[in-house]
Amino acid sequence: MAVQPVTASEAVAAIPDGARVALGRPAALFLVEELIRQGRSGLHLVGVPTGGRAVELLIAAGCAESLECSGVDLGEEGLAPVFGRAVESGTLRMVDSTCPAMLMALQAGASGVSFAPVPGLLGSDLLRVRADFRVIDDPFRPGERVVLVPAIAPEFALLHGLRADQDGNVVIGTEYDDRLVAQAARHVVYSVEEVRDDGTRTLAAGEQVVPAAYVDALVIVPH
Amino acid sequence: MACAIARALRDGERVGVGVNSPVPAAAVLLAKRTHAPSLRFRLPGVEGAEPFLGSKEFFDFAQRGRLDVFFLSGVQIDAGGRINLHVLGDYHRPERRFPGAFGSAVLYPIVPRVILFRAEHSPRVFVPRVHFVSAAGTPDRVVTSLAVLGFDRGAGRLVLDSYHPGQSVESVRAATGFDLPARPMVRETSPPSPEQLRVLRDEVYPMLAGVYPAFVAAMLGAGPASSPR
Repeated sequence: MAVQPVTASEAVAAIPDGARVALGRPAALFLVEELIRQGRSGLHLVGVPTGGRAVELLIAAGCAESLECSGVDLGEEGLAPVFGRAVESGTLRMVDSTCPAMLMALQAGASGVSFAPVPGLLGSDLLRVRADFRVIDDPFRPGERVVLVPAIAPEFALLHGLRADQDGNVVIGTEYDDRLVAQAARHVVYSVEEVRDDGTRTLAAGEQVVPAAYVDALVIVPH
Repeated sequence: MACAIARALRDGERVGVGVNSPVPAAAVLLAKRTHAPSLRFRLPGVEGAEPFLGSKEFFDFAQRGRLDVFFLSGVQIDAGGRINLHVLGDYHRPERRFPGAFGSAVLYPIVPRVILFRAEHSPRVFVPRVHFVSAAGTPDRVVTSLAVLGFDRGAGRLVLDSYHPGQSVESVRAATGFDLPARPMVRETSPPSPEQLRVLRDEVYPMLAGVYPAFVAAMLGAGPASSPR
């Protein structure tokens, strides 16, 4: 069945103020800009597993109340200045995590369980500042301690794919973790650069297909 | 630094390179093209890298204990090898906020050989105690622009293994913000070989131009002996 793409404006209008919104990589900048244009506020952002330019834009525009991720930077450009100032001035609440904990928590969200055990982490002050991380005696490895982190199942995800087919299956790269975001989020908005009949018939190396079943809204954006 | 890190890598090891790690990335490619042709590495966007599905699969691989080597850095690195990637000052009211832990909090305690790297070797980086422990673990070594530090497991602290050409035990100690004992066998770091420098310039840096364009431009533009190809 042919999927009916919607406009960015329509897709983003479904996201209320104060929603928990996950952002993937590469960032769906067209959708993020629409969120800013619509003046959304109080958002709880989830950067998977890190944050970059999209996070900077949303903080600068006053859309974000909190951010959960394992790090924010601008690659070779260095530190993310808006993020840094927002945390220093107390206008952004940072929920610090670490990449494997973010990904295990998303896997828990994707699998419908409420938490995930994560190895390592012991000795890190993250355990001091994350009151929701628990350390327990590992029930299956006597004498060992293990950290539990709560599942992440964001209400919304804004993701960007390469292309879609007429059924709404989306082709994405294999380098990042957006598939897991699509699995864990409750409402997924995907932007793609084109929709074509044979969009999923031939995959290049480094491409994979996200089933249309995960996709709640499909937006075609300019190249 | 890249040559000193490359020498620390052994043939056949499985090595991961994280974000913002151009020097370790160059070191891995250099090692692979010189003494460690069977090295396997994770380095997204670079030809020859292991095609893991997302960073999730790579971190799972490390969590299983199958990754041999990873590289971490720190805004601050302390005498006990702990790293701080988060804040200067109090966590809840920071004077300066930095990017965050990335994968370090999990990888540092579980990867067998973690190599720390930091070009700036100064008392503000090498502090007695970090303001925030982003990650704690046992470092294999610390490579800076002045020296290679080792880790005394018995004492649980960093020690001086070798000072780079032009440096001395005294100059490295003066640049370190905590008492840095020298190992009895302390020596000068072997300088980069002409072959290492040639491979870096002719083969490695061009491979990294897509991922780290500014780093590569700086490396190829610097020094009278090197020129862009």
